Amino acid sequence: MKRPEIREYEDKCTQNYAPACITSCPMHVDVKTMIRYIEKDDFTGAVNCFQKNIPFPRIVSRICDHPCQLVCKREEIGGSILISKLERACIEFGELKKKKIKPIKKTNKKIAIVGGGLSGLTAALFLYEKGYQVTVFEKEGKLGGRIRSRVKDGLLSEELMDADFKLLDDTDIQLRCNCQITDIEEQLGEIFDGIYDSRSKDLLIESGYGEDSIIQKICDGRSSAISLDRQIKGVSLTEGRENEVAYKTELYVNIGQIEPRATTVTPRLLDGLTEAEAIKEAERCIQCECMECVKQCKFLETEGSYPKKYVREIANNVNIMMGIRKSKNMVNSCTLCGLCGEICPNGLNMADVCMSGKVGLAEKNHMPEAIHDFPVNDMLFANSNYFKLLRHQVGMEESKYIFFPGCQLGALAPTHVLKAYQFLTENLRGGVGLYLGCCGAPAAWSGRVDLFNQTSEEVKDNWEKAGKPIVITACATCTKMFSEQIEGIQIESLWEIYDSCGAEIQGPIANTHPVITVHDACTARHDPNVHKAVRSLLKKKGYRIEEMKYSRDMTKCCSFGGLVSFTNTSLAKEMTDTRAMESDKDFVVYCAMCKERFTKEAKSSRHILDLIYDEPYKSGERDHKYIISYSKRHENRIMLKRKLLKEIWGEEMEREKEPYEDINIKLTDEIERIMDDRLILVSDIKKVIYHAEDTGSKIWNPNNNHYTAKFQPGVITYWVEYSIEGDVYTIYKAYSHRLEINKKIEENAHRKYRL
Amino acid sequence: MKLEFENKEGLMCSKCRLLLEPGKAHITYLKSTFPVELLTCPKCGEVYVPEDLALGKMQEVEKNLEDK
Ligand code: SF4
Ligand code: SF4
Ligand code: SF4
Ligand SMILES: [Zn+2]
Repeated sequence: MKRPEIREYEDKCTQNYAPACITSCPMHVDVKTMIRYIEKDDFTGAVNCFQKNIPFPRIVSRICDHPCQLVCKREEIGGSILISKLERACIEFGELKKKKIKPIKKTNKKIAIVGGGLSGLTAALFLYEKGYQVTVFEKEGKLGGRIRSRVKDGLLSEELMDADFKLLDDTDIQLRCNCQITDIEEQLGEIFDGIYDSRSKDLLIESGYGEDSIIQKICDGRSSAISLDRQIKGVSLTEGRENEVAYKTELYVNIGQIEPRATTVTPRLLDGLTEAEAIKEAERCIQCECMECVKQCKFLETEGSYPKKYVREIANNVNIMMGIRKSKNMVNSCTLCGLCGEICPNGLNMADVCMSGKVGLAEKNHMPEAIHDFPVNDMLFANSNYFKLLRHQVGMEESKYIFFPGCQLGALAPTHVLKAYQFLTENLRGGVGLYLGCCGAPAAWSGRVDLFNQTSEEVKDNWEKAGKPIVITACATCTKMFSEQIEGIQIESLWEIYDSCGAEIQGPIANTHPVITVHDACTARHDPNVHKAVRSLLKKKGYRIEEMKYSRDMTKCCSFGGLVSFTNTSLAKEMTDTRAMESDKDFVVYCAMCKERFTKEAKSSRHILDLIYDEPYKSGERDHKYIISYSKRHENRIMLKRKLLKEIWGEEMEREKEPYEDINIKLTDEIERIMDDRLILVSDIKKVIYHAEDTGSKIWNPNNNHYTAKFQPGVITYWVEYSIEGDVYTIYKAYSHRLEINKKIEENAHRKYRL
Repeated sequence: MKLEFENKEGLMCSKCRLLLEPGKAHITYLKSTFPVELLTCPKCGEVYVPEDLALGKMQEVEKNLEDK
């Protein structure tokens, strides 16, 4: 990722922006933190927080006109937080630290301030701190200006005012009371290097809440002082002052899920709150933040922070190659589902960020191939002669359509592929070809650009060879990959075709089936026609649909996306489980991998083809026929190809057998389960034994007459413990590791599936 | 790194008919190479990695190297 790009992504996340109360306060009191202190009964912490931005805290706590309360998010759900009253409570119950202002660096420049009201005094303090020699001219006998009149309202007292103004006594600011300035130039012009007339707006960069706002007065004083200081120093008057005064925040806060809660304080104008009342009121604060995407994504949640931070972390780590571990884990934990991009008010899509991180790491050789070895090999297998097939419809010379069922449906439910193909040839005119293979998603998702491009090129070549037919897909990921990679390709989903021409799929008795919910595939997020077709089909079959909140364009990933179920199994499980719990209804899915993930994590679910073809179905039951070992999935693919070739085209499957294939092994169910967990295929085991028996390289255990041997066909080394009786090899253990031992590189003969 | 060096079970190299002994081997992964001690055949150098080693210590090393 390039720097400007990183910035662009980062800037989209506004999670760390200040909430409305803070930005609408001209002095930007950190209301959120202050209230958190109060909630924890720490009034001293709270008052220190308040005092940081407010030079005269006692006065402000009594008479601030609190524009913050007008924009408080709580307003719509129970009424604004009584922020001003809480500030008063801080002063009353907390211990106000004695503040002493010291000049940073003294200069002999002289400043005159006309007017000893709040703005004048604020300016005086600011400029004094900057090192100027400050003199304040006040026409009355006492400081404070107009706020003195508030004493008779009963809110303010002389004592409070004096206590706040004591701050000035500890400084070298000259106070000239009873000193009326009528002609500034004439009276002060020659003596002073700079003059601030608190009655004029000349030094203000932006106007604020107007004459009656006392907090605005304070802000005006500070702003004018900043301008004056800059003027004297001869630096830009405007630079870097964007959010100096009150402004509108860009923080997004969703209050949709928050319970309304009204204040428990009975309104009274003059009195403050009790401690207990203040704490209760503070508890109503919703501590505004965005976190919308984080709330809906287990990955974002688990990382413990939010996208702005992640973008920086991932980009930095990939660019400067430091802290690789963290960012590698991150990019390999994102399912690339794009939900965050839909949720984020500014459209920040972490899938783009993580995908570009994956590519960056792979390019710099920091993405160990072993991490994605299994799914990538699975793809290579699906695109090898074991499965790959490209044919026009039998008896036809051309194809108007070509059916691409994808690599997983054929592995998990081969008979569905047969039936679907039959359906298509019976219902569509112009020839429906068949293309078995994998779209290349595993290569893309492991960041291996070259391999992915190579795979896409191959698909493109084959599609062109077939005469650029309309491609019919049964997997939304294939659709996504093809439409992104192949220009001019026209794709239709199998579901749209079933829906538009499937008269026979009409359900027998409407509305007798259970109520189900549709789990949309995340890669079909932007495909409303697919969403529609699937639902229409289900209704025709007599199912009633109860939609989940996160469906269609807002759907969630089953956790297969991005190969997370291989790279972060525990997170993947959590993602699947969380999704499963979003509805107690059975899921209907239309992606073979969604089906696999939900079946594996014991969520009752059905593939739409199960329902189209009226497979026996009991609501709430896990669907055991989809619990299939990886080895069996390979076999299924081979079987499917063989069957199709034979039954439709009347051909035998031509394939040279690998020598290891004839090895006769015996496995217990337990070993098979272990092998699947460890991503070891039956073919891997056979390769080990074949190699060991062929070369004689094996270890013998005289106690039980078992042999242990290893073989490294690619990046992984496989070990098998076995015994021999006749020509049967009984397997006791199967394990693997990524480390390469002895550096002795074995020939790769059995690795590469012939293409 | 010492991984395994006792041949309690009396494991033998099937080819050479010799008892495995603690011996030196090399481990390579992601451009790092380092020596290890493993049970090996004193003649042909055949190595033995038991299951608990492959799934324990070796996986740890893999993770560490991958995380570098
Ligand atoms: S009450 Fe006044 S000082 Fe406090 S946050 Fe609101 S505007 Fe700022
Ligand atoms: S898993 Fe999906 S929602 Fe979560 S960060 Fe990745 S793309 Fe966004
Ligand atoms: S939705 Fe997520 S990425 Fe977007 S602003 Fe909120 S926290 Fe940031
Ligand atoms: Zn030997």
